[in-house]
Amino acid sequence: MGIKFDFRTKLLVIVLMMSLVAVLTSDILIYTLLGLLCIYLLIQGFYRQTVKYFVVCCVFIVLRLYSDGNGVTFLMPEMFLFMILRILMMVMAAQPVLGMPPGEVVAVFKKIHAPNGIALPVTFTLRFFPTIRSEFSDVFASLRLRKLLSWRHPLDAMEYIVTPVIFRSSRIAEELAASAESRGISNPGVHSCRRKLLFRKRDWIMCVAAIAVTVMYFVLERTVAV
Amino acid sequence: MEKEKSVSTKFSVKDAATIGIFCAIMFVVFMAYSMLTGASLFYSMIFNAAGAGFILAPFYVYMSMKVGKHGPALVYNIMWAVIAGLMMGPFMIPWFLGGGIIAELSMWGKDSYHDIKRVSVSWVITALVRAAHGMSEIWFFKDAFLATGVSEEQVQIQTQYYTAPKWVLLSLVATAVLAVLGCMISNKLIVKHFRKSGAIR
Amino acid sequence: MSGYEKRQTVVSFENVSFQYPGAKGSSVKDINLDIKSGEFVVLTGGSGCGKTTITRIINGLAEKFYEGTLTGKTSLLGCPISDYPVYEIGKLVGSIFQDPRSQFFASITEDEVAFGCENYGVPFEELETRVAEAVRGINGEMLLGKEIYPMSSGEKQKIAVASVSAVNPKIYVFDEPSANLDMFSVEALKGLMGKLKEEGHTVLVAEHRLYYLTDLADRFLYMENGRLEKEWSSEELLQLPEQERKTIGIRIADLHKIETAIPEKAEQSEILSVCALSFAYRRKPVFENLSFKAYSGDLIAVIGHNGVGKTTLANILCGIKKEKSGKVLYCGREVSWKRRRNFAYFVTQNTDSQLFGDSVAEELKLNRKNAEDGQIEELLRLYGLYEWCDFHPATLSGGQKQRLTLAVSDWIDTPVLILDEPTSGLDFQNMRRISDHLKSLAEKGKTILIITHDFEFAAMTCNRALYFSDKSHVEDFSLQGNLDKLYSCLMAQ
Repeated sequence: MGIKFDFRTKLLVIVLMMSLVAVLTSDILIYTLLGLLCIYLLIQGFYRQTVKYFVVCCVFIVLRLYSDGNGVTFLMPEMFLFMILRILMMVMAAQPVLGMPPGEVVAVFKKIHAPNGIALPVTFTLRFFPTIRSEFSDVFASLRLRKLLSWRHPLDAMEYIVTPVIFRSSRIAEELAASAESRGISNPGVHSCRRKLLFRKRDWIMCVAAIAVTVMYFVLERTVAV
Repeated sequence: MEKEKSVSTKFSVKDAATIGIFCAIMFVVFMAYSMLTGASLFYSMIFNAAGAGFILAPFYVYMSMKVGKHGPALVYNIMWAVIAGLMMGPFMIPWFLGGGIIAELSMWGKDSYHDIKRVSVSWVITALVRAAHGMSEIWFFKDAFLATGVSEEQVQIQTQYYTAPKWVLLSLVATAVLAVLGCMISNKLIVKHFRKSGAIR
Repeated sequence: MSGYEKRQTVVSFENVSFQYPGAKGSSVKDINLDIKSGEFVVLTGGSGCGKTTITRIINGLAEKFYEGTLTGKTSLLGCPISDYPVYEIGKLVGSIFQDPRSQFFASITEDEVAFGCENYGVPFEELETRVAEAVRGINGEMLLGKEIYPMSSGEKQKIAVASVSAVNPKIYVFDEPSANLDMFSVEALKGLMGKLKEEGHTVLVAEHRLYYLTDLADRFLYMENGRLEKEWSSEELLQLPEQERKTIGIRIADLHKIETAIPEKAEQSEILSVCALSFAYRRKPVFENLSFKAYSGDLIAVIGHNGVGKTTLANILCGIKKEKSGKVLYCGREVSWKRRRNFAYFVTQNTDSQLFGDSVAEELKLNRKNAEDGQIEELLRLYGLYEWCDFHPATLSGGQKQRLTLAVSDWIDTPVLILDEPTSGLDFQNMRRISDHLKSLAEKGKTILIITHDFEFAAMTCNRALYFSDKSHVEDFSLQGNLDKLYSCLMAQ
């Protein structure tokens, strides 16, 4: 299922990647870096996502080659093609953090002593993500059955879609909060965590490797650019 | 033993739950909307925020009025700061964070979160922050792009929709207008449904 | 209550009343209650009688979370309840709520079971043991490592119990825990509750469905309009005359006593025919080669364990989903999935996502803009909703919302009506009203399919049952004289 790195390692990779994409100009370097990124994601078990990212990146690489410096119509000037690939690579580097299981995110918050005012809402946000799609699809299904969805009356459609979702979500928020309160979420003492966040040997290796790669690319960029 | 009923001004777990859940909805709706409109990069960079300012307004307005105390504007923008920071660069964090602080400061005073006009102001600020964030991305990548041999002039032409004053103004005005419209419609919904049913007091 | 008199009192109420903010009157009035250590007490009564409020007073949520006003003297293990902050009460009173879907907090089992312990700062070394013990206690080993969101309601409810038991409170409070569960899961829940009783915990359950508690409860307390009116032991409840039970309005305590009164229907015209229907989700077959027929006036109970595809079938019949293969015929003609909503209307389990108007009358007008006031009044009176015609649908009770969705479906008037668990969480009176409405719709010639786990409801309403035993087998049988078979089908996993 993939190697699990500590969140600090993952953050370091993100920061290093950001500094690289802001500086690299050579296409070859960018493409090879993309390859390394794919490996980074694959060893952590993000198989499907890696394929998706790779395909999208290739599309933009092809577009850039096709555009030959002139952009693709006024909709996609050359600079945007330049930026998009780099932004995609930053997103790829961020995937291990974005794809962290909610339990691990909560553990990170506890470790860094994040203030409750932000940690609590984020926990509820992560908890609610998987259910949103079905909330909306339930409403859409009911509207289709009652034949109330008409794009000729967009404001009415907006009202019919938004109102039940808000009622339901508000009710769920209250029930979730009651459930959390009754199990001591407001307890002012120390909260423990069953997930221990450890910086292990593999994290050291990854960090050293990431820094080495970054330095190497900086040097290569210098030589290639000259 | 009669207890004095007090309207709590402290940030409670219920408030955190409401904010968290509605932020989740706003993110998901924003992503779905962006994917639909993202086909045209031009649109997505200039007018995406404007459309989002409209369709996300009901959730933001409800969240603000339901919680009724300080916090929603700041928390929402902090979440965006973190996500944008992770996905687009560290410079995003101060950008959204600054916007969030300004939006929250605009809600200074008692009961501001129950007043649709004040809530609209904080929403317009939030929407404008998102509308303008692309400029900071261009600034981030500009040096590298120039280093590929492109001239300054060419960069200006290519990014004009995002940096030329005319276009920037158009985008910001469109965003503000749609955000305000979104809040007006949301207020109608609030009165018609949520005040009537007692969900919002 | 033999044997408990000498035990320590754990919860006591003296002339306690409680009012929610903005409510017109008190939800509970002058309650005097004395619960002893180790007792198993059941609170029952119609919707709105106040039983949930009592559970909320005991777990501290009533005052501190719902911000209501409490009067009178309360005591929890010697101290007034108001003196405890909610998080302190959480160590002494564990709460399991009605809807398993909005109780869990984490994404995987272990994180959820550990949640309460983590909040109370249980040391890291002890956490794993507590979680393992709690999971063992619910026979949940196969749930370890799994994501909670896709689990069935029964599994989610078990995890909720485990999460509370890991904290090991003295008192357990359950608020209608069986409302969303199938009968098999209710048996599992009964087993868990039995264990808690054996271990000496004090248990309080607010419930409509009483049949699974008669072996466990020491006493049953009946509430009406916020007051404690009657008290029975299990034997007294089981011996309650049927007429009295129906007048009081509580659900039957002994399922084997139910008699069906549905006459055998003469074959009427065929309205729906399903031929060799198959559906797969992400290449995993949900059901295969399904065939059955339905006639006008039929009231069919659609039963089978969770995940077998009953809701999917309903979605296919009304055109929300498209089948992989097979045919659906209405009145003898094959109908494409896009046009099926003209023939079948589906009332889903989630009533909140089906109501869009800002008043009950407006809700009806959404589907008939030119309706006259007289027509609306007639329909609302038929469904007992006329007094609420200007109220917002979100303010209605569960039973009223269900009747409103039925009124809407009556007006939309498709030949086939499908309902998904229409009686989950409903008390006896509301269940009977829904049953009566459905029976009168069937008399008018509608074909009605009801997905249900509710044995009492199915027995008093339906004439046929369609039992999904597995992916490719559906058994079709008449309910006349066949209640034992219905019971065993509902109890099968």
